[in-house]
Amino acid sequence: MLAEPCIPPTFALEYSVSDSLWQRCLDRLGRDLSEQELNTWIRPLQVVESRHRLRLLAPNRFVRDWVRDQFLTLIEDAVGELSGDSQAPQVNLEVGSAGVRPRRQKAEESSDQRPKAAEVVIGSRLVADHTFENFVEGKSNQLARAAARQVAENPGQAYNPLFIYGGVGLGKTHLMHAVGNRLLEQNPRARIAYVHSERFVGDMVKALQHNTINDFKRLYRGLDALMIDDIQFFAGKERSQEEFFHTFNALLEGQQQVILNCDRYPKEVNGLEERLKSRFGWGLTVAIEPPELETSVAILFRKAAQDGVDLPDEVAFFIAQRIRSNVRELEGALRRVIANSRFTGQPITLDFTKEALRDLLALHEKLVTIDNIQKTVANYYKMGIKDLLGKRRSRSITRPRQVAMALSKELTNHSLPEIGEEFGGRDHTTVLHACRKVKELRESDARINDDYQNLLRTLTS
Amino acid sequence: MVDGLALGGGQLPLGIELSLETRLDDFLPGPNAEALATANALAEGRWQSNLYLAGASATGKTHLLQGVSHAASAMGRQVAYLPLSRPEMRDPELLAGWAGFDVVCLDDLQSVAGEMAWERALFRLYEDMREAGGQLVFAADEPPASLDLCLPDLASRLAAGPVYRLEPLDDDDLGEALRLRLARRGLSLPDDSARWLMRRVRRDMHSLTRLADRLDHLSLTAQRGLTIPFLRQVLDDT
Repeated sequence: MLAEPCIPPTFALEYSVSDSLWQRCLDRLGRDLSEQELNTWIRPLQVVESRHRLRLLAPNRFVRDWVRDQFLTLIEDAVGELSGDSQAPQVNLEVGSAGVRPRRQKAEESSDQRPKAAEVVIGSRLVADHTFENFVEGKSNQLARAAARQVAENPGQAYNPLFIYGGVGLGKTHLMHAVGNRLLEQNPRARIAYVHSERFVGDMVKALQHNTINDFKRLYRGLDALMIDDIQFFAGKERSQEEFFHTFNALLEGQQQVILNCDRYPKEVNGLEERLKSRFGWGLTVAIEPPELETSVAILFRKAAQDGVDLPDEVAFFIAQRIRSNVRELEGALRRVIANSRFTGQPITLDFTKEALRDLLALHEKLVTIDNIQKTVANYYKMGIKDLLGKRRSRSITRPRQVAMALSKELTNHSLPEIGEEFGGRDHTTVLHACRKVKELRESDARINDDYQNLLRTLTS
Repeated sequence: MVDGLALGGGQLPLGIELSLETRLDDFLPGPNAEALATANALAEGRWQSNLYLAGASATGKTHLLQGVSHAASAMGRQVAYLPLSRPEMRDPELLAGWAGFDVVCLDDLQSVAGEMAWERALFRLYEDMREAGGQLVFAADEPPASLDLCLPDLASRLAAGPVYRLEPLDDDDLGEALRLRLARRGLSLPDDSARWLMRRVRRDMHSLTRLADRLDHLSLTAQRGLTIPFLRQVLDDT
């Protein structure tokens, strides 16, 4: 592969010593740099220390260049100063990674029953959880699931290519991984690649740059099954389409399976060559629709069960009814409910769920200004802005004025003097009095409370 | 030094201001307790999905992100904080190569939303992190659906972890937050002074943080406590 150079983990162990030179260097740099500079540029550098050399590894060229231009002298000075009398190690700044460190040990221990992610030749690893068994079937995805199943049982024979299209977050990728997982289950030595079209393009560009395009071709054309996600990303990339077209043809001729995903019907993708579009239709094209209510509910139950959470029916229906767009957001909403319950120790009830999702369900807030409040209040009480801001002190005018001031305090960050200023140059004590008066009236007079609530709703919905 | 002399014979403040690291412990939760709890759990590795924080300016997004960076880093986890609105962050290549990290915090997402090259880089980062088992913490002024992203694939992914909308603190909490900030600098703010102050200043966290800095500086210079007469003098001078 064309990855950045990777240092074996054994070397990387050296930098975990807490009183290492680099650690002291960080403390020293903390005096001169802002917290943001430290967290953005300095702390993310991985370090490999040896007696004569301090290797600083940046995740990419951009970070390396910025650190070199802005901070390297500072770092070298700090290293020199901290080394005292002994010879200061040479500081090298490069792009790279100190190897993958053991991560998430706890999470892995606790989910040991889960199968390990399957290895693939190119592209990304398959997600082990994305199996046919874990795919919640409903009317909206039945056909796509059945087709994928067929392909997994008879790769290269049943439908080639299989083209699955549908909106984001509906399970297209899950089905692809399910096919891949099943193929590997049947034949652990099968050469399978799951590649996002972005990565296909990226790898191809790198191969062209490094003069390894022939290796790239050989690798792709030697596959037993190729799955490309989100092929709409190919739009407008002529060179990639060209290369993909040939790969695609070679695989189809060899009866190797190709599965493609797209967010829309192939003919509707702009910027895709006609010959590709027509070839995509040679096999089977199936759609995935957004899930119906029952499927959404079933998905929520399945997800909750995976997390060991007991989800009441009414809660599942409540979430499913309100998040209709896609499964990813449905799961996002569920995760939030679970997080809130876990961290507050409260049980998941309908009221708890409504509270947890209140902002997610609310339409996005409008920015509320004093100006806006004055207009809305004047409109509500059918009076002119001039009166609202003017000097008249009859009750029919002061009441709305006080309500508007109280709303300004509740809905904006302006100081009381600023609010007074906006209401015809009044003193901040007048604003304070208005707020107290309105609070008092809302408790004693249901009509005023209703008015206030109505206005609050109008202004924030 | 000239500044110090101009203040008229008071004690000269030391040249080195105490650098206060942003900690999750100093985050006054108010209505945002759930977001804080999830951020804490994520920093410590007890919460395994991504996190998205939406909220207007001065609602504490950056505080939470910096706090997560600090807490995760203190536990020996590999973490980066990338504020995308800063002028030096001008190349989407910035988002490459982080897959081995435990946590990457992306602040001010709205400043790159709508730019195809950035969105693709974000998409790749998302997928790489997912594959490697790392976590992302996003912050923006709007929730994913309102960011006007070109890539619906990205929008739905951003919404796949919990999305929290941060709410501003109410006056009592703001007063408390100001008191906390001053306390960390060794200054105490009496109740009546706090009430007096909250009726007269802009009630948002950025303004209050700046105010805390100023009060710290001026009270040290003038050798005076935070009494109402002193505060009045400070506000009159602006």
